Amino acid sequence: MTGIWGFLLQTLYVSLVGGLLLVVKAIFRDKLTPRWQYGVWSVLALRILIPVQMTWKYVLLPLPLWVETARILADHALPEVLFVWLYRLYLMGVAVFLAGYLFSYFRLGRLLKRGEAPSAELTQQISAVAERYDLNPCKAVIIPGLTSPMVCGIIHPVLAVPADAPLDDHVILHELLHVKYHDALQNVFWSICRALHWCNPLVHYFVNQIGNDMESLCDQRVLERLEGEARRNYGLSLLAMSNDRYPRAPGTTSISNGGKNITRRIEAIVRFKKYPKGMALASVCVTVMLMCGCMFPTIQPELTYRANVDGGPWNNAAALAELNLNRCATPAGAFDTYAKGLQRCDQQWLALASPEAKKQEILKGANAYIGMENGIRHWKNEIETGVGLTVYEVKDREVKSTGKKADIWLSQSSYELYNLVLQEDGSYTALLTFFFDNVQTLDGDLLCCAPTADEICAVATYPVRVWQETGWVLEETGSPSLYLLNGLDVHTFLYELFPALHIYYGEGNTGSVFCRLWTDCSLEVPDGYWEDAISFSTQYPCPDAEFGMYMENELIRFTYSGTENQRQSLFQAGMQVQKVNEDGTVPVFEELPDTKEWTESSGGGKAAWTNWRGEDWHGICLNGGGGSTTPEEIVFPLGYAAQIWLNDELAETIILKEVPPNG
Amino acid sequence: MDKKYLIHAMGSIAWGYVFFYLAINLGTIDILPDWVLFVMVVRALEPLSEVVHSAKLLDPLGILLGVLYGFQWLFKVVGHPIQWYLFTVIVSVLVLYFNFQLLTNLAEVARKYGYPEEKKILQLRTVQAILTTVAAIPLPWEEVGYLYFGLAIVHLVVVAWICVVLFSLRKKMSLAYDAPAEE
Repeated sequence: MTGIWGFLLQTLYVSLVGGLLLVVKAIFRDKLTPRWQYGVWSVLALRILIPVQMTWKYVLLPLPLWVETARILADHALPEVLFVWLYRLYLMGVAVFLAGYLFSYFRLGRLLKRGEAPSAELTQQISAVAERYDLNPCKAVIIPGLTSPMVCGIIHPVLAVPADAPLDDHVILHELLHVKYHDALQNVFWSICRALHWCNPLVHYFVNQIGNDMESLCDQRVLERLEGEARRNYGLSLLAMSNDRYPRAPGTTSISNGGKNITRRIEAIVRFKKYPKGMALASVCVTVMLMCGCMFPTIQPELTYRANVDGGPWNNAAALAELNLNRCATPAGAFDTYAKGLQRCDQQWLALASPEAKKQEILKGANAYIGMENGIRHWKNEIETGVGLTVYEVKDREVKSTGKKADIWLSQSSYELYNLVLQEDGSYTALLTFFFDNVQTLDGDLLCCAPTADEICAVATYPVRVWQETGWVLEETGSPSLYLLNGLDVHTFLYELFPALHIYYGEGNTGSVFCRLWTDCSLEVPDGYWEDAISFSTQYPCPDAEFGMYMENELIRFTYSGTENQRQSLFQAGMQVQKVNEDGTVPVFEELPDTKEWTESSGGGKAAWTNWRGEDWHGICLNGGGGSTTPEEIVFPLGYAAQIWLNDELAETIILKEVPPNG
Repeated sequence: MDKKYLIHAMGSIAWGYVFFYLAINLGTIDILPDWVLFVMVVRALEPLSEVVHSAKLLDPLGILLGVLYGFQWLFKVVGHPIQWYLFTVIVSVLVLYFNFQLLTNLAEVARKYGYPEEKKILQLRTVQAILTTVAAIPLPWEEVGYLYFGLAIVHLVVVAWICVVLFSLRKKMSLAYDAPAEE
């Protein structure tokens, strides 16, 4: 967010932080010393210096969301040029304020040059005070008409004193302390802050308070150097100036800052000895905590204003503002948000997980409804999800294309993440996979229906890629597919027919071995994050979900190639499979018990085996295995080695090599 | 001042800390509400401030925190817990100061009556303030979960220790108070 809106956000945050500091300072007025009372303004200084980021996280209050919402509403109600001119007006104001400060600073400089040289007594008095309190003396100038003494200048400060009033030692001490702690320079900084926020009356108020606190701190420093009666006299000196008019210009400090403020300073002086002792650490801790609370965006706005909900212009604009501000914080969050956007035809969620170009396309269409008279939101560019799926039918344990396309409702499905792979460029590819117990077309026709709600009649897949833009975004990388299972058990479909990530194949003297490898991954959602109850399976997305259990699955099948007679002569057939080594060499197999003692099959350990013993073997050894890992750690094997055992003897070892998925 | 009021005040504050740091929930209701600490401390401030004058400064802050925690507890009971970060920031800062000054004042009481607990209270106060501040720094705590867990454990130990030291101080003061009477 830039221009006038960026400034508005910044100045609102400055006001908020300044207000918070005023509240806390008021509570600690009699508990923490003037040193803290002035020092804590450093939190405001940092807030002014560090621009507020328009991130999806916010500080203290969701001001970015409110400002962005106001911007969207204003963009629709008022001409854009108005905001351009408002920003120019703001910049001109800053320039005028800075020019005014420079002008007054140089005018003061001229005035000082025309000033009279101090008397020898005054010079001696200043030197004596400086020597007594171990401070650097300061050049002095007599300015006729000046009501109270002041220090002017940053590099070579000069003590300007009134012409017709004797100068008290305490007052000189006060001004020399201003010089020692470079208060005039600090005053320049605060004046620049005032200029940057010239149109915010609160900032003017804060800077005035800061000036007063600076004087109180200087009083404190004076009192720390005085004893007994001298302290009372210092208070009297201040009281004597309570009716004075006081000068205030950048690069200057003046002991007199108005009757009301001097009253407060006198009160602080009275409290000088009454502040609780040993509070230095508490002062630092309180300041650090305030700084952390006021500086770091830690709160994540929720997707409160969901799309497709009729909520009036403000809520509609807020929904768009959320889109502009939110990002998917994790790759898993992008998968979850996009998948649930597809299921719910929710453009807000889809846009949230989409690359900037597509997101803007959605926003462009979404903006169109703002300002509709009936207050009901209708997207201009309606997005229908579940469109254009290529339909495949599963028949006789084979997937066959029907040559047709279908537009279906995804809302009745549940989804899972299959074949998730971390690519070399840091992106993730996967198949968003939807499972249906019934499939309805957008026209209302029923494509398939499982006998019970627990069974699956169809599976849809969307090949997708997720990468990091500002946040994590997702794009579809291929056309979606719909598999009608025609009564086949979904687990059989997944193991035997579902698009594999890797396929391995090898041939030997006894037969061939075929291996399919795919992965599935669950997501973990931070508990209690959303206001609605949420879990992986619920309908609301979680843009900062994490990958959960990541399973690597294998199906390995040995098909015997011997003749019918040879097959019938077998009383035992078994297969033991293990991944080849990283350099492709045959691994050392685990020592296994005699094949007579093998159980039917096992996927545990490094090797998986399957065994048959009996009569009339059907000629196939099938083994399913796998293990859990993470998308970052998984290493897909170069191949597999399969030991084939026939009639309790090792017949051969077949090496499986990767083949193209359609090979 | 009769020292028995001071001893009673020390006991109240120690029990207040137990209420503050222990939470036993029945459904949404915390049966050891935090605001009890502030009620007990505010009641104990009068005898305490006769020994340490600055303790009186905690009076308005204690009432304010008692009211804020009372509202927080009430809202939680009716099922609408207050989750405003701005509120949390202010309350955290006030509580940090409140605890720090109160423990400083209690250490001062121990010092004035010559009990060795003074140093322990001051050390625990310092550790507690630093831990609270460090926990408020928005580090990526999720990534260093063990560190956060460690901090939480140390904090728990410190809090338990504070309670033990305060009860021990109260007991010693009570024994010293009773001893001449028995003689």
